[in-house]
Parts: sequence; structure tokens; C-alpha cells
Amino acid sequence: MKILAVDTAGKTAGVALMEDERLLYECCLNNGLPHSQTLLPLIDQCLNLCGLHCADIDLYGVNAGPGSFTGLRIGLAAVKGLALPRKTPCAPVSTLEALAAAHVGEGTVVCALDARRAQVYCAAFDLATHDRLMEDDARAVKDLAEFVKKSKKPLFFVGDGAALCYNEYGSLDGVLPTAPALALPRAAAVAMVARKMALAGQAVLPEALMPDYHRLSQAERERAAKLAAQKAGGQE
Amino acid sequence: MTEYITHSRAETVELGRRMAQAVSPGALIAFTGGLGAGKTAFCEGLAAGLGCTDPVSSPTFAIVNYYRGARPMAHFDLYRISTEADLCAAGFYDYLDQGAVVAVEWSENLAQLLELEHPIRVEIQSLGGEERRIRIEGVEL
Repeated sequence: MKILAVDTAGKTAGVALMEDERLLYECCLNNGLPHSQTLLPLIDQCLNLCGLHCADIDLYGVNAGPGSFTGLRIGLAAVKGLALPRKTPCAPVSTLEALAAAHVGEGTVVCALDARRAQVYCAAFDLATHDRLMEDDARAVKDLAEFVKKSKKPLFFVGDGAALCYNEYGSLDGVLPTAPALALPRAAAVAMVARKMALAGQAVLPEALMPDYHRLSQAERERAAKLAAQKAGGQE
Repeated sequence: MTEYITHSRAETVELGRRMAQAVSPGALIAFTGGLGAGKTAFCEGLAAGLGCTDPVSSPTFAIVNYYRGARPMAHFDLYRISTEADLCAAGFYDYLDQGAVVAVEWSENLAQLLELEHPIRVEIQSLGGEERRIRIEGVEL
């Protein structure tokens, strides 16, 4: 199975090509140029250097969220366009799960993307098993305190929200530093998660590929539900 | 807060051009003032002063126009935007994060939300004819 994976959820643009578990090509561009300018040339270069065409691709993987709204749409639109003519299956990958998939070891990885106003889109995974320890959601950085303090294993942060988390928790026992250059999103990890999803029957047709922004935090959703309940109660 | 009186459209454009020299990348500029107040004229000068090469037009229908150039600018009209989700979907925060200068017309519509981003404020009031009173808060020209 040949998998082309794309990551444009954050500031970096990544493209990877895998044949089953073998990585054939990967790039990560982190020079600040807009994804709308760089993504298609990167995909083109990837296919050219691998001597492949879109017709050879069996599965597309793409970060479907959370992430920058504009970035997610660029990645999803590009993949949708490439996949549509042949109805090639697509795997809408969680940006946070893909971040975690690039790391192994013994401990916990917390993936965090800056969501502004001291909030992060975050999730946590066990490094050895990659079992999920926390669902994808927007949370206040401060609200991670309990999780970080209760974590029995060593823990580190990755993603463009990692710096926010290190500011808050970096000095705690058990919190390990990461090398920023090695904690960037990896398109190869997107491909790995996409493959896992396809094997589990979770790939979709290109027309069903949709962004998952996770914009509202749990606190905001609870407040909205409470207000709606109050409103409904008032009308009775 | 500083108050300026401009006597023609050209003077309003020129004031926008002056402001371009004083704002940093990722700055948010929130405009208030009714229809025809001259917000788009001011933005025309602002974009020119930033070195944008794309032509400036009213973003009323597109919601956002993006002008490329030395220092890019995103020009929003929030007249039809009423929720935070819509604002996010329009890429508002992405432009701020990218370091574009973000100019927002009809900022009244989401005043509380924009407040959190500590905007520079520009209030334009028509004094009749082409004369305008322009109040600028949050930056020294």
C-alpha cells in the first residue's frame, strides 16, 4: 500500500510517502512561506523523486484537525483534489495523534498546539503503546496541571504549544525537555496513523473528508449547554 | 488618544499611510464609523504604506481581502460575522499569527472578542462633505 501523507496543520508543511511500513520520502518545510505556495510543489517533488504518479497512490493521509483553520483547509482541499478523480481512500488523521506517533520510549507524550489566550488544543498518549490518555480538545494550559502532576511516568510536550506548557510545567519533577527541532510535526507519522486507520476500516472517500476544528473548549461547551438549558427552563 | 481632522479623501488616505509606519507585524486595527465614513479610504493608505501591491477594495462581500506585499495586510469586514466560530472560520486568528497587519471594519460587531487582542482603535466620523474627524488610540503617529 502506497501512502501519501500531508501535514499543513501548523506553521510547517510536510509531505511523506510510505510503502506499507517503509518510508520512501519525507520533507518538513519550516521557513514561514504560506502553505498555499509550497504544498503542491512539495507533493510534486515527492512524487517526481519517487517516480510515482497520483494513480499509484492507494491511500492519502492528511491532518484533519485541530490546527490552523487556513492550514487545515489547504491540506484537506489539496488531498481531496488529488484523491477525487480515482476516489482514492483518504484517512482524516488527528493532528495530535500524528504528533505523538513520531515519538517512542517509556513515558507520556502530551501534544499541544497553541490555541491563543493561554489555551492549547491537546491530547496525551502513552509512549510505549500509543494508547490515548486524553481526548483531543481545547483546554486552558492551567487545566493540564492535574494530569501533569498525577502522571506517574516521565512526560514531555511536543507541538507548537509545547513552549506554553513548558513555561507552566517545565520545572516539575518528571517533566523532560525536548529538542525543538526534533519535536516538529512529521508527515511520516501522519502516514503511519493513516495506514493504521485504513487497516481498521476508518478511511473515507475524498468527498467525506472534513476538517475537525475542535474550536470550542470543553468549558465553553459546558457553558453553552448550561445557557441553553437555562433558556429552555425559562420557556417552560 | 489623538484626534485628526482630514479635509479630503486624499488626506484620509495619507493618514492611513502614516499609520503604516507606526504599526508592527501582527497588529490589529479596529475601525468604527458608519457607512461611507472613509474606512476603506484609510485602509487604502494603510496598505500602500505597508508596501502592499494588491489593489485595495471593500471586503464587504468577500469578508476578508488579503493584500500581498512587503508587509502583508488582511482587510476584514465583520458586518456579517457575529460569532467567534465564524471569525475563526474566516481565518482571522491565522492572519494575526502569520504576522499580517489585520485591519477590521465594523469591529463594533465583535467588540468584546477583539478587545482580547488589544487592538489599535480608529474611529472615523463624517463632519459633512469630505471632512472627517479621525480618533486614533493605541499608537503614536
